[in-house]
Amino acid sequence: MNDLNMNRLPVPTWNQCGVNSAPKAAALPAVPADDWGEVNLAFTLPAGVGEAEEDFTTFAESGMGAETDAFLLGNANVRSALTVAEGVEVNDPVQFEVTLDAAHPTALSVFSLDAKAHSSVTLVQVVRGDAENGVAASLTRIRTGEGAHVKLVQIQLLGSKARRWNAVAVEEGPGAKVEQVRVELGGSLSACGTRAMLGTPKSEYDLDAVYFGGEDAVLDYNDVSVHTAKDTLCEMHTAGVLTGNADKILRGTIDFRRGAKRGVGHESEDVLLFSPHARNRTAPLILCGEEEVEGQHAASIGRLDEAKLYYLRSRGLSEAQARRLMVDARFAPAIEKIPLEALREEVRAEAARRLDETC
Amino acid sequence: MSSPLLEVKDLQVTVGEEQKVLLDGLNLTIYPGETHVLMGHNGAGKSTLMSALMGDPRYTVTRGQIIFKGQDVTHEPADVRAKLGMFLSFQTPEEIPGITLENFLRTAQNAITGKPVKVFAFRKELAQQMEALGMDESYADRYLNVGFSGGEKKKSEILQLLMLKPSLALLDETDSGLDVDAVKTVAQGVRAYHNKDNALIIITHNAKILEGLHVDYVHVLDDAHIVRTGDGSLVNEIIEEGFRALKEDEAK
Repeated sequence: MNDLNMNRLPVPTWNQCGVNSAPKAAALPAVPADDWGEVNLAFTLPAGVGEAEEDFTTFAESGMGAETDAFLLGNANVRSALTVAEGVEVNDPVQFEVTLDAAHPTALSVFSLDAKAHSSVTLVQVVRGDAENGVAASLTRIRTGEGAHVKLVQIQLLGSKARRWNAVAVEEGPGAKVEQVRVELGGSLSACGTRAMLGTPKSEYDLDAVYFGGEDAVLDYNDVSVHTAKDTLCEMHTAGVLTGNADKILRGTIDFRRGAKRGVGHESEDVLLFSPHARNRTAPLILCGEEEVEGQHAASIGRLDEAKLYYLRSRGLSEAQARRLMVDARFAPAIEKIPLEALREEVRAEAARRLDETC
Repeated sequence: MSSPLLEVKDLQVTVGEEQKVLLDGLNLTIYPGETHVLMGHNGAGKSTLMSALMGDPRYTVTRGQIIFKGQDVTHEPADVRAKLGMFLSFQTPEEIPGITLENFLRTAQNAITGKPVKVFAFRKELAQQMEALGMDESYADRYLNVGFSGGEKKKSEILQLLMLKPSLALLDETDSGLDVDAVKTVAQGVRAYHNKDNALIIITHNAKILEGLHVDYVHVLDDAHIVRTGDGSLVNEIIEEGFRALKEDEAK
């Protein structure tokens, strides 16, 4: 039953498909009687990145929806509002790392980044650790000025007990580009939603997302690129692996509205199923309110078939190596965009470990 | 004489739940340096033998043994056989999206040797072998066999053979579907691979791929077992006169 006002498909489809919004299992955590407690947080702010005097007062909603945004804004126990001045190119990434453990089981974060015109910066957010009923929830809001370039890299390496909500909202200036890399490898729940507003000419939003769902994990994603200006571009590509009893929904929407002349949007998803009990649902949606636009979607869902497995094994790869190779191949486009080598290797190793453990 | 590279003893192979017998009582011994050719009409069991030797899980060995380099591999999976030095050039190579030819070869080389691949030397050798096979270097960055023409897929198989350097190469109609020039190139690749320490088993319906190779034995398969073994001259005899003439000769 899907009755949450979260990760809502912009235009609902048949209710019985169960994809119109996030399932009950994705319901936001109950607010504790006292407070959310301390957060185990580490961060690095490189030169060129400043703290904003005040946070955004208004902002477009995230892909998870206004209610989720309001909940996070109202409950956050970590807040950070950053700014990069006009024309400043920040070479080293801004890093935020949250670790859940028994003493720090919750982290509700709100990150804001105001990248002024012609600036560039990379923001790396890592969530790791585990805790019984652990909560790692975040709202990230990015506003870019003209010609600015922001790369948002989100790595989720939680254990199997914690739950994760990850809301992202993007507003772009003319000729600006926001690239998002989203790696979701753990958690009993992984609910994410990005909404990019391409409201100025030649603005661009790119998403490279990967997920791994094992055991009884619930994965629920809603990514939306809203095009209202000329010559806007989005590339949203997701790859995932489902094992065990994992249940996943991905909604991907490219919304060409009036004014989005010559807008281009491509979205795809490639899912590999390693268990007959895993469930995959993919809901690609392209809305056209303007002529002369190009929208494409593609989805492939498959198992590692016996013939391919035999072919790989005939070249010396064990069954586990063959499986890993197939997963590596799917995850590589996203993982290769992680700017920190140690983190890149950690993600590769974690993906391989989780795969070996569950398959 | 050196030890046999491969010994197939009284092999029976079945397929499916109904255990349909595809090979029965098959014996074959191969020494290093030899080239064996398998011939027979369609459905005689040639490809089944290759698949059974390589450990294709679709087939079950219900009797007999496959001894490779002195080790009983009858019930070993394909990767164990590959690591020991067996290689099958597939008649219809699989397409593997997401893995480039170069990455796949590097991973396979690493899996087979158990040693890290030296990237510079690997790339140099890969470029040389691709050039020798007339393959555009861009194929190294393309997903394995995805969108390759029939000819390019076969060349990709020979490229893998040259890069992985197995002790025993099983070539299952590697020349089928190739134009004249491509057959010559592939034959060149096979010749470059072959030496006194390795051996070849080749399934073919024509002699082009055998040009420049000394064929030691030709085996004719029929009705699930080898019905005749001869020297290299048998290839032309069969090509010219067909299998029916061979059967008639036997009947006389």
